[in-house]
Amino acid sequence: MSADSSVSQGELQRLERLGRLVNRYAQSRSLSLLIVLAILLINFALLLQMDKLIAWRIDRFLTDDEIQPSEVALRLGLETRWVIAIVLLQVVFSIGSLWLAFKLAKRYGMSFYRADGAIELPRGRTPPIAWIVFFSVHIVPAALTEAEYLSNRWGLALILSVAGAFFIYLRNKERAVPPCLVLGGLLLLEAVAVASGIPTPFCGRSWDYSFAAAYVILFASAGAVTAVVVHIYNRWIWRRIGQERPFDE
Amino acid sequence: MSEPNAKHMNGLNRVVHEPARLAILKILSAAEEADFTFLLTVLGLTKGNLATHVNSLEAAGYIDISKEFVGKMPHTTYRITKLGRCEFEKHWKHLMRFAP
Repeated sequence: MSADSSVSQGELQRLERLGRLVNRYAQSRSLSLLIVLAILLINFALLLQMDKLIAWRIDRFLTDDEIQPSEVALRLGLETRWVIAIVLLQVVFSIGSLWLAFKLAKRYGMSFYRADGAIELPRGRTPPIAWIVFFSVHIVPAALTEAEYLSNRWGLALILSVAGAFFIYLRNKERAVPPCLVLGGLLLLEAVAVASGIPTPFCGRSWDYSFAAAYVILFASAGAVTAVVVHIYNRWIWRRIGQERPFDE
Repeated sequence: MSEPNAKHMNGLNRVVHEPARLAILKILSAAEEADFTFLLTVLGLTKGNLATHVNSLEAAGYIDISKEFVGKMPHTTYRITKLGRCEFEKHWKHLMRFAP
């Protein structure tokens, strides 16, 4: 394409292809979104397990001024003050990691591709009610597993299905089709694998943090595979953009 | 009789019709916002040429330019305006129908 003449039909089609590629590239660069969501979910799993350390019976909570150590805490030989200290530490860790995740995503989210320049799509079109529904539905399998109505296996299969379906729903709302589709698909695959009884780390164990540990491991491994796949896809798209470059000055 | 708009000739918007500006608007309409480095790499224009074209588009109100410092480095970002998107889409449809 020359910069000083009018455009032909072929050149318009080439520009059209370039525009489509740039849009796809912008969508596949949204890995920062994944980092924030992964940290949110890991914190969610961690907070769910805090009740193991404190007595979670409402009647006791309402009648006693002091938080009573749970059986787990007593078995570990923890005094009440240590239980409170550990819970506070977990809360501080959660708030701190969330703050750090958002700060990092805002400042360095695209630093991986800084040499390519910055490009941004308007995101955040997911309605708040969708997030509320997601976390509410997310909590059901976790709570059922906690209450021992569900085994770790079925609890994990359900929670992974909910997370996978939500990521697939997010793909157009957040204009991040490749990462959301890959992560959502992998989480659904993991859900099927867990449900069909394929051995999963910590899934069959009965110790108190096994559900959260299995969930975090499965989620983090799906996230890692997604990051690699999307990065390879990014580089491929970037090469195609280079081939469609309209000027060569 | 009203005076013809200098931007328009034979139904074509002359600001948008120039190939480099057309390509810049195409990228910005696909991505909403891009910085100078990205446009430079994707389009293959020289720095001076790109700067001239984006200034013309800004003067016509088709893009917004925001400048900031990241550390000690200047960072310029371009965003297509509603008017720019509207004019570009109108022009693009026209070109797709009548381009040789």
